[in-house]
Amino acid sequence: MLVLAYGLLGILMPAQALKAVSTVGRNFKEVAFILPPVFVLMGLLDVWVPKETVELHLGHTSGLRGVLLSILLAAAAAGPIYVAFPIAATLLRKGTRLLNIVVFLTAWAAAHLPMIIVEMRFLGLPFALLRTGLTLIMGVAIGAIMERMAVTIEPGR
Amino acid sequence: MYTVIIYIAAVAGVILSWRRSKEKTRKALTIGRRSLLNMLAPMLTLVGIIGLIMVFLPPEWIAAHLGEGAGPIGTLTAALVGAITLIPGFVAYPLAGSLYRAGASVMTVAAFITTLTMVGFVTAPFESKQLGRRFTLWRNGLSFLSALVIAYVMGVLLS
Repeated sequence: MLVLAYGLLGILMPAQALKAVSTVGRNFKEVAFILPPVFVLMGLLDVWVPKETVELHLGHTSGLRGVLLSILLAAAAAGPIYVAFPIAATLLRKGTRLLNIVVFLTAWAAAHLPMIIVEMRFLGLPFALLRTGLTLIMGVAIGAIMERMAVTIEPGR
Repeated sequence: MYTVIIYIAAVAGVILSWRRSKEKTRKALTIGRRSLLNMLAPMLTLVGIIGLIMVFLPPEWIAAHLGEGAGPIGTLTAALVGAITLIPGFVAYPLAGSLYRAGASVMTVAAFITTLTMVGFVTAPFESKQLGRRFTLWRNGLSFLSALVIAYVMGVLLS
């Protein structure tokens, strides 16, 4: 369907199609470069870090330290949010509690260190810090609500 | 620059791992490769969709129109646009900057950036595949509401 859309665009509006294709190219390059090391690290995590360790540090009794670790893991990573979904699924399989999964995804989307620097440049330090801080706090709240509502995770549905 | 750091971390990790167990390292690399290949199709789809969004909802258009909409309506529109579009960070922040300079309120700019990062309409099918539909609906729904709260608080504190 996407191919069809691009085909139609190419026939009807060649100039726009060119712009779309160049955006796609730039984006693809950006993402394609960052993906291999991120997935290598994920593979290493999967193999070397035992389930008990993940459960201890990110599981139900991990408390505030678990939350901070989730934020740290996500902030240090790189790549668009959709890269985080398979990694979150891996962490979940290893015993991470739902709250920390939500915090991890929120931090991945909203608190990448290099992105915060870009944000500071364009919107100022107070804006960037306040937005990041509030977003992380709300991430914890969302995770807590979802645990309270007993939201379950059923992949593939 | 940051990409380089991640690469160094990955290479160092593989070397350390290889020293301790070749078997486990092979397994890790297989897992990584499989996940990467699984990623490829959704990634191409999403990148393709982003390309179309950039053409039909160009950043300049967004900046021009969200800048005008004053008050709660403008903020709500910004939140909706942020939720349904997927704009990469290196475009989004300059865009938000010009939005602000064009006269949009802090609240509007915050709503836009916050829903852009927290809510993923375009990525929802993929999130759903990895983590389930219930999870995806709850997370994105609550994130949208939170984004409005965050925008309000920021508007009050920063303007």
